[in-house]
Amino acid sequence: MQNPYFSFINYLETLPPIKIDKLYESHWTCQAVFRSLPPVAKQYVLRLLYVDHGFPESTFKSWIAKKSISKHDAALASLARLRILVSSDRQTSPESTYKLHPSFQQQLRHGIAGSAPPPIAELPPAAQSSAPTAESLDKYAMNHWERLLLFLVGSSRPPTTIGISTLKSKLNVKILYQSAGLMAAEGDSSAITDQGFQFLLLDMQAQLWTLLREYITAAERDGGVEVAAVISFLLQMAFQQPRQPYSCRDLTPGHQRVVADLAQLGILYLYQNGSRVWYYPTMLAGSLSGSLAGTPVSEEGQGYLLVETNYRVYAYTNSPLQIEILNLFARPDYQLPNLYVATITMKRVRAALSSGISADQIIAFLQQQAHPHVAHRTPVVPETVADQIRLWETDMLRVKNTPAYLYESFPSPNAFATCVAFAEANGALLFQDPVKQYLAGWVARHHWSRSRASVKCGLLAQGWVARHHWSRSRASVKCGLLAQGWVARHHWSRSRASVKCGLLAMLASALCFGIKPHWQMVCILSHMEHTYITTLCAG
Amino acid sequence: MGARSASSLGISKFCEQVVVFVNAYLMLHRRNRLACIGMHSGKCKVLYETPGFFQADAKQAFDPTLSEPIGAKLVRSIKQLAEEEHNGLPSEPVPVPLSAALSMALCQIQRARRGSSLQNLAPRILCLHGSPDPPAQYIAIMNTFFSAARNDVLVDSCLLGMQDSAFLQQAAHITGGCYLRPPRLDGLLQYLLSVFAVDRFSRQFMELPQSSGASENNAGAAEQPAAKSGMELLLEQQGAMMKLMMKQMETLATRVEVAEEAAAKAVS
Repeated sequence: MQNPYFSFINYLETLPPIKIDKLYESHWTCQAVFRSLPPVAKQYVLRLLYVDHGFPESTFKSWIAKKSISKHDAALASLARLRILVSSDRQTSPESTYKLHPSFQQQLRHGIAGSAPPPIAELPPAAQSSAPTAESLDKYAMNHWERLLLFLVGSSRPPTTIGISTLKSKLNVKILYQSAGLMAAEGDSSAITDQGFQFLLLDMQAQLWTLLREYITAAERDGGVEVAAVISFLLQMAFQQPRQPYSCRDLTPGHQRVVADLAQLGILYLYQNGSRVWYYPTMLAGSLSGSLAGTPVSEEGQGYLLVETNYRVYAYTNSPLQIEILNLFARPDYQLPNLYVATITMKRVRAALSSGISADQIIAFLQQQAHPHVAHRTPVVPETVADQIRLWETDMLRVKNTPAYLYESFPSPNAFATCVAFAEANGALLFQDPVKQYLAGWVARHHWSRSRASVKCGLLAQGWVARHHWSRSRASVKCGLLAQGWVARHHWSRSRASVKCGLLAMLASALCFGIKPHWQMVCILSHMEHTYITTLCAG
Repeated sequence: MGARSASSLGISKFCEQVVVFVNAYLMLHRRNRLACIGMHSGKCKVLYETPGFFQADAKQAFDPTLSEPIGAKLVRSIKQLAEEEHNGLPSEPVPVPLSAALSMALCQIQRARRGSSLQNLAPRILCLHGSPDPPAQYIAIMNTFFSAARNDVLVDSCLLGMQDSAFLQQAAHITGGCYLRPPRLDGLLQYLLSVFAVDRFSRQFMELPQSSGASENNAGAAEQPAAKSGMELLLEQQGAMMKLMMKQMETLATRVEVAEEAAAKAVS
């Protein structure tokens, strides 16, 4: 499973420039992106907002205190990744200058000058009497979400939303779960996977975000809904008030489909009166918009768990879902109308651990869901219990596997020593035996270590000695290669406009890795050295 | 904080720029909230408050003004204030109630602190000030600065006239805020956005312009005795009280002694 706290902004950074440009055509998107920037980056944007010409980097540096230059680097990097700062052409001026992305600047100015939150629709008097209240909306959202998760556990059917003829959703929750890897199909039925168990222990915000991310990627893959439409709608939602009606009439068709799909997930509530339809962002949307805008929303007074030092867990709940989650790592003792008592046992915890849940996840879950009466205590979970769970985990991890490469049959003790020194310097050395001249290195660091200006790669492979160097400067890439029995040396130089690639060197190196060369690989190489290396690793 | 006038800028232009600044400030973070207080001769008034200023997490009832642009609201109340000023107020200039406005701001901050479940508010007061200092309010104003410093509230000031304000320089010095008098008022917005939009967290990292550095130092040095005298005045008052109490204690003691002596005599 990818990092559950992977935030929205990280997702944007991975999008190709064309899509980002398209997103910046909406001022809601610009404002939401602005809000999620690091604090220093926000200040940079504000300073540049009403300036039309570019600034050299030295100007930015003069704004920041000398001791916190790292913040400056982080801010500039994040602005560049999001294409908010674009550097001007180097040819026109000697020093490259930075200015704001033109459409981002324009939209942000627009947002700042006359920004009003998206208009809340006023219900006609006839519709007001049957309109949902805030309490009923909260109840609906919680119920809906619980049933979605229960479906994942396999004890209920997926919840259905109120059907509205004009807004048909094609979203299939089961397929969404499966593509997120939370459920695996087994014949006709499908069962929860290890990832699914981990998913259950996450907090609601992370769960929501996991599903939405999957929804966005699915949208991208199937081409059903325009990705930009999904994202811009989500970001606009970040500025809407939860539990207030918004009219569906003004939405574009793309947005209407998104509304229908989000209603399936319980993020929106659809309300129809006569021919008009309104949507209400529910509390799920509220907690989501917090994460979209960069600040986690803490939910207070929601916890229901008390953990005692004797491993007893008292859960003030009667929700089947919460009981189901507890049963992952605790043995049920009694169930009373409003109370569920369970005991954390070694057997259960081990079962949970072996299905991929980590001890920290269990403890974090117990902490997050702590009853308000104990939530203020430190530590929330008694130390004995937390430590014991961690001990059970370490018991299972006495032997640790690290994927490694073994190098042997070095031609000379000298070569062996050089290699050990190189591996040590790069933090890649796992094990060495000077007598037998064995050396083991980390797979991850096997092929490359990269510094800012140069990539050097020292490589000694089984049976033969190959030495490989790359050094990369701004203008040229040089590759020196020594392979068994023969020496091949090849240089290629790279300029901004053209990439020349030595096919011979490629063939030679591919041969020494024992891989059939592919044209595709050559192309990749010419673009990005380390993509090439990972391809080789995979090979 | 409101400004009384922006002589070379024109009130409507000034309002526009302030509105843009307010919007930018609110856009910086979804939890950012603010209240604008306007002051004019003899009176101060809350012009605008972000909905839910006092209760960050309150579930709000339906409020149609929620979707009204902030700018419109703010400009309307500024106009209202200006009209009130025109209608039937004494024609001779009355000193601005700076101390009253500052205390009002402090009260608002205190209320916001109590109402919110978040303990980590980082409150700031920004004075957009264009009037001469009211010397008669010296002690009151200094007291507000001291209590601001005590309550961990920064007082930033942006001066709109050609004159520096000794009071507000003191405020920046005492509370650790930022004091700036833009040399050109037509670029006010740029100053507001690049200096006064910097939140307290980012101030650890960012260099704020020290444009009025020299004059501030000079003025600071010149004002030092005045500040001291203010402090001394307080101390003197306290000292006088102490003396009075000591005297009373002494007389009490002598009385007791006299009474004891009398009692001893009576016994003997």
